[in-house]
Amino acid sequence: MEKKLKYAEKNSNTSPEKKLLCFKTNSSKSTEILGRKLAQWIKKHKVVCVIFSGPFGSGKTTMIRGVIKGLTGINNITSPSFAIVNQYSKGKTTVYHFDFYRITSAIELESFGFSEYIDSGLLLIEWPEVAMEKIPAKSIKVTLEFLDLKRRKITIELL
Amino acid sequence: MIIAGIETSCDETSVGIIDKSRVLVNLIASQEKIHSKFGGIVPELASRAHLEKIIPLFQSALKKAGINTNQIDAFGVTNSPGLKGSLLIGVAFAQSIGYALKKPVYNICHLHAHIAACYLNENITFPALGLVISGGHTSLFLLKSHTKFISIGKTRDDACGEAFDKVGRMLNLPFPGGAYVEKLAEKGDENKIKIPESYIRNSLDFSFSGIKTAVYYHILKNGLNNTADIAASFQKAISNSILAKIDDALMLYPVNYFLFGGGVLRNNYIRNRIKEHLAVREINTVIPESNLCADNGAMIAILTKYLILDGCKPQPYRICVIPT
Repeated sequence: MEKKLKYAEKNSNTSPEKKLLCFKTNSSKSTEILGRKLAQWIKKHKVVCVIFSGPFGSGKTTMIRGVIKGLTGINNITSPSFAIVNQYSKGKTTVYHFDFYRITSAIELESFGFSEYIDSGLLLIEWPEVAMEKIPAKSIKVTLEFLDLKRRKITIELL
Repeated sequence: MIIAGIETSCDETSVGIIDKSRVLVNLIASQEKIHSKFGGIVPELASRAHLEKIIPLFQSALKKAGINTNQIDAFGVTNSPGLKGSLLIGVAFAQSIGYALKKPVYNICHLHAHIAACYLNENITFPALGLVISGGHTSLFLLKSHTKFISIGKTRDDACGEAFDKVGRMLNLPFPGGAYVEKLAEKGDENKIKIPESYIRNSLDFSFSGIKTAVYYHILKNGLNNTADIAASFQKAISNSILAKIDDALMLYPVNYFLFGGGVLRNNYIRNRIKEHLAVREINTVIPESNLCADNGAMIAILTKYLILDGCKPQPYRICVIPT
């Protein structure tokens, strides 16, 4: 599976101006592994925020699970839809896993002090669409799409 | 012994007051519509909303219970898990009032308290099993006593109620989706659409994300037709997954009592399926009444009572929350 991903990365259609990377995964496991690879990239490039767009069940939480595992080694990552934010820390690394699913407007973000989280750790945000203006500049955007029940098309781009 | 329980871990601000094993009052602010008193829309999610609601709610709880603050013997407050800002309001409130009145304050785990709502039934024998299924959590516990909880399983992805809510949104139902999905499902055929049940082998962990994905993919392929059948089939798949884990838990821990708690148990279909399932196995099932299943203050007060009976020491007057 790893090999397949490496192959996909090599052969992905990267255009220099948009810096778009395109992957295909064939199971939730490979989506998670792609998340782990993204974690290495996040570490290397000191990314502050990654947003994850995609419909229900497209694998946003699954991919984030891979990222958090890759960065902190923490294993049990669950959906933060109801808690809005879950925090994972190990050593100097802090990751905030946000879910804006229940948020209806950007104003509501301030009601729980969203801006205070920026720069205090890595932000991974699901369902970011309601509050795009609050997303820090130079974030990475991950888009997940259904190919069929198991397979997903995943694109990674710089905002 | 009069105990006040404060709950602010998520959306609901709640104050419950119990006297021994009698619930005197159990007010939940999102139902009481206290915020209308302030003449504006208070964002439901905001910890600010808790801040605005907590004092008037506490005062009206005292009034309805017919007591004054000096009659309260102890306070219990949710300090984990939940949204940090929201938890802080409840804990700060409870600790300050406890300090001012020189009454003990107990920090309570929200999940344990959901199970404690069952303790109004005083026949329970231990060890027992406890399952919390709510919007934010799905957790299985082995209970050695009223206050000794051992976590033996939880969800690996979505909480049970979350799956309900998300399917509700897929079916264009209003928020919160759970109640609407149940209503719609009544008109549907639960055997019409095959939704794979999720089951994790060799573990007492749950997984609901696969069921949610299957529903979404079904809608993606077939469009939004027969929504009632989709709702019914989904509800059946969720229930079957829960029942399968209940059986696994009973196999490992043969107990006489199975206790339940959490908002999803307000769903009558799931309630009845669980009751029937455990009746056949001759296990005593305890499910609290509907308003004690939701996030509420009374359940916090009930667990506080048992902590006191078990001789647990109260927390020092200090603000400490554990969000996750």
